Amino acid sequence: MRYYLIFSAFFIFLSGCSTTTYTRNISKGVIQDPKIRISAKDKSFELQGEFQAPFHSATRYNSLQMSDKELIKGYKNALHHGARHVIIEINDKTLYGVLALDKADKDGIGPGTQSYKIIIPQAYIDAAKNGKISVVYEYYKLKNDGIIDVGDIKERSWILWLSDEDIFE
Amino acid sequence: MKVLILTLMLTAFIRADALVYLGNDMHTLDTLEERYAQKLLITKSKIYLIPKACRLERYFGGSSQGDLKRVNVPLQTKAIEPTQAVFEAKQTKNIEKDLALKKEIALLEGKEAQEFLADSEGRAFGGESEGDLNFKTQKSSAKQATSNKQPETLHPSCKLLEDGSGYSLKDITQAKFYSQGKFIPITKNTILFQ
Repeated sequence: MRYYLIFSAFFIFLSGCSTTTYTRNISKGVIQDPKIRISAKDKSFELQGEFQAPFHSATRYNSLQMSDKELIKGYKNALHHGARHVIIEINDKTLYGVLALDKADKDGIGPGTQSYKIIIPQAYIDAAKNGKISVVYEYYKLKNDGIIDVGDIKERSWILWLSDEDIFE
Repeated sequence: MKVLILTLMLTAFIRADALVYLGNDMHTLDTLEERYAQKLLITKSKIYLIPKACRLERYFGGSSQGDLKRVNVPLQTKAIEPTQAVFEAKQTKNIEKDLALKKEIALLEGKEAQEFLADSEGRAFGGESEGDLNFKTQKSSAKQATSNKQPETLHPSCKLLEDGSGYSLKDITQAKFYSQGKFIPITKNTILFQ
């Protein structure tokens, strides 16, 4: 009986750990550069300037789970979790990519939990050539509950993988 | 121990941060706004900054397989938080400017906190007991002590909202924001992040 109780307690503890907390909807966003247009490969949406989120993904790629280096190859799994295959038009240049728009963690704080602000610095565009992948994202921090220090965890809200070749099929 | 943890948790949730007092010279508003790169709060002829604890920023990051010609980041003892200015920086001096600003505001906030602690000399204490701790008597005497003492100046304060979507302001009678040469009346005590 005692072992049964211990096992039950352990199971309940594990279930609690795995409960999703990414429940806060982020409904709007903006692409900072009005000249940049991101459209779905299947033509289901087109984003430019201010936008309403056309979908929500569930990659849950926080920095504990995935470092920046690992994130470059994370697009495959992201596509399985609702991220979308996109075409990015920047001035006269066309890039291909994958866009993830995740919901926010319920313990997230700051403007990054309220809306998406998509910025693609030129250095990342320039580096995404000859089929090489660049990835850019916005992250927010978690509220410290005073027991566990979560100040260093980066929770990513939007993630954009890009390359000059369509290697994201 | 349980009591101590509960007290710590409660303190973390009810904590409010005093706004950073900058002075009362209204002729310096434009200079201060440019220097601290944020809107100012004016109340009763006093000029304040919203502290970092309430004024949360956006953070960005990235990585590439290609040759990423990022700006040379100056050596730091602590990793730089890639806010928008740092993320988009095309020159090292832009990063340095952002860091210098953050350092200046941090020093200012530290100095302000020290001034508030002046009365109690800034000492901190802790304790633990194997027996049952009864904080009731301590609490009532502390309440009495604070109620007898009236602060000379009541600075406004702010507190992050529970859901992290913004912050609330307290003690801001007839307060206004000052931004880009304009006074904007504060109609609501709750400021939501954009």
